[in-house]
Amino acid sequence: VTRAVAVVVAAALTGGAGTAAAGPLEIERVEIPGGARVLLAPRAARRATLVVQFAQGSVDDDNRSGLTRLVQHVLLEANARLDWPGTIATLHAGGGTLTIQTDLRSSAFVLEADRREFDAVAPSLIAALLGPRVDRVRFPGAIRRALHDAKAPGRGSGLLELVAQTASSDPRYHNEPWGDPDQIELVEPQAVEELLRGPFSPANARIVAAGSFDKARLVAAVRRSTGGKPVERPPAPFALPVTSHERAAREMHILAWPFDVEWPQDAAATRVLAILVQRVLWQRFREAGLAYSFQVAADRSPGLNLFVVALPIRRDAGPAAGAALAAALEDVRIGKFDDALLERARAIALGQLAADDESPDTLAAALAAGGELWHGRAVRDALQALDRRAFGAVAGRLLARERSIALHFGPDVEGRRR
Amino acid sequence: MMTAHVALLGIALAASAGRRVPPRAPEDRIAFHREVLEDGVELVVLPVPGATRASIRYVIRAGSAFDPPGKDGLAHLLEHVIATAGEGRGSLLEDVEVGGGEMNAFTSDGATIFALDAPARAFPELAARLVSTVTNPRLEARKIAREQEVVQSEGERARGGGAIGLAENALFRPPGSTLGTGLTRGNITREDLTAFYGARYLPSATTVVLAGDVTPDQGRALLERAFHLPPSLASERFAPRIGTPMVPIDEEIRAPVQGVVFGYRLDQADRALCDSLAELVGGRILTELYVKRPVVAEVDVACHTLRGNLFLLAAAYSRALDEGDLPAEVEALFRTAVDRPMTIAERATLERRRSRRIDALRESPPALAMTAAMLATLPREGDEAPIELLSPPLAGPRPLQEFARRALDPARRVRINLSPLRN
Repeated sequence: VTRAVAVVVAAALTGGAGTAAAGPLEIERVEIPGGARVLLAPRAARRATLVVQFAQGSVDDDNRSGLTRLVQHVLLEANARLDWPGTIATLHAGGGTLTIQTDLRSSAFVLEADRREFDAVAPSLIAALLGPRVDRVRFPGAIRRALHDAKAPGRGSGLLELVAQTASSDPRYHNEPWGDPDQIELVEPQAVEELLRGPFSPANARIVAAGSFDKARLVAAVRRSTGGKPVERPPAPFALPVTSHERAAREMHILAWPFDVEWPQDAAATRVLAILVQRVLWQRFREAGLAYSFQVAADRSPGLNLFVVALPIRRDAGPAAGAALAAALEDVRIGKFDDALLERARAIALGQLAADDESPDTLAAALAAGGELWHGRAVRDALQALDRRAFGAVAGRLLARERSIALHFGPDVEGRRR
Repeated sequence: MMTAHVALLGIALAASAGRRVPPRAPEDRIAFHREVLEDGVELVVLPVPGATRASIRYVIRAGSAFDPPGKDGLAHLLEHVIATAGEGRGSLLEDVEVGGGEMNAFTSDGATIFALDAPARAFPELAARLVSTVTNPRLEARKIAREQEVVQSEGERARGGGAIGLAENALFRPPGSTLGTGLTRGNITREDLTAFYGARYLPSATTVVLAGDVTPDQGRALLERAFHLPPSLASERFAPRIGTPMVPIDEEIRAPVQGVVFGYRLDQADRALCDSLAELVGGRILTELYVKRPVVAEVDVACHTLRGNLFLLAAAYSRALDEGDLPAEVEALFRTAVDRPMTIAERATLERRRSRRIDALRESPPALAMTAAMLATLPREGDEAPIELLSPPLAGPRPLQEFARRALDPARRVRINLSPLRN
């Protein structure tokens, strides 16, 4: 506790020190041998966002559902290296937030705050997360907090989880991200410490900071802890194509495709594809009065990239809407749209890239999910150079029917899976 | 440095205008310009010099509370028809997107708001088109029929508006129905929409909020160019419709979450004090029920205006179904505001939170514009919106304790338990 307080005081004394903002779309990578991977995007802003991401998600819990979530609570509340009440008090006073995210293939801590609180909290938080020491006295408190999460009624699933659970042949994808209360209660500190030495070690961490912050102090905090062996996380084992029909309260069609981003050109084309599909769906469904809204997203997370199109639709539109949705996407795949539409989608994508770059939380999330391949000057250059041929090559590959996941949910749906 | 610059420029701008409020101290208040133009439109300008984006909120102080009997959903349907004017290329919606902006519209019981945020360079043209679209709409029968269908889809997706929305439905009878039902929407004709537009979309019921690197002169010029409605007549003014809440209330309702909405109905004139009290109580609940003991998973204490009535409400969610008596614990922490005045440490925390909140608003034209727009929808004394509530002063310990004594009146208490197990 004393150590944490000392850090806060030191931050207050050096609060005037800052970091010059980098140019638009400029991303700085810091290499730390044996340590976390660091991406920094200093910008002229009043606030900053930090993401500390680990290569461990609910899928990796195997038969101990909820272990990842519990480890995250332990890292905050039962970590002798962190003054948890003091951290919350500092953030509350400054209108900042610290949230934990538990996804299928990764987990993360997200700090968002005014630069004054950010510089007071971020270095000590990083040091505590990368070099934790489990406090066994406070361990039961972390168990209790994790049980709260696991017992939450009506949690539901996100779109990405829904698609992955349905399409994957691996039963671990059905693990609840927040876990099974009966199993959480049985977890011993030793099991947590084992994970801290493995997937939660510095070698398996990614640190992203965006906005206005003291770069030198932040990087120094990351350098303080190294170690661990990088874990292998193979891609999700989808048996494609997948078609599924499931009974649900509301009518919805989902089409999804796993995708890869190996070059900035892939990211540029995928970004434009999402916007172009959005425009096509607006014309065919919204302007026809069939749908209120829909979602088109290129969701990225370590080991699991999915291009997802979700169309909630009127109940009476039913299965016909599914066929119409598939036809709309097929038209995009084969290039059945005019040049003007592609040009507008490209212009919108460039505008979105610039807007994302000005928002620390959006920028940090983009970098955490997709790294420099998804956001940066190379992506902008690729967007500017994108032509119909290059776009068609990526769209044709990504939207291939034989690699698709087609889900239909609805109150009148018979059967479950075929 | 930047903060002081923003505030000082705001004062300089305000000094050149007509009917206005005196400038505020620059260091801890958000600068604004407010005037009522000759035709009755209220113009609010929130200058953010150097901002790369700008925002407009076109506020009509009439919403679903004015839906004619049997035609629930009319105000919302009209908002849809206006907001989606034009189709495909060349439509305002698409041009906003191509310009790097966002556009949306909202209908509540008391107001209809059209919102647009855009990069500064594209903003003047897009904002003018938005104003022109709202003040000179084409209510085509084909579009109306289409939006009827779309609203049907929206209705099937609606989920009840969170804990505060559930509480609102419990507090007022009959429950609100901004969307209406298929039956009530089916009764709405083009003539109904035209009549509603003529009676409610009046200059005297309109507030236009601009935030960004925008001056009052530019705001006036924008309206002069793009505003197409004739000036309001004195006889056309209408009063807001204020609902009558059923307080005290102590109910349990079915909800997708486990928790409680607890608080009190207050007088609208106490809005600034309400904000201070919400901050004090919110901090104590966070400390006792989140940090010290994991009783709540989330808690939000805030002042809400529901159907024209001011409420101080805590929405506290407990993820566990077996974790003590949450309503009683929340109520006890409200009562501490009466028994235990704000400490020096708490005051320092609340002052810092207030300062950070003001800084955050100053940096975000969309958030600034939306906050001001919500203030413009509040019931008001006279012609002017209470924009000064963008940065209300923090009440001192004694005045706040005296206010708590007066305001936390059991006869005005709201206690609504939320439970997924309730039938």
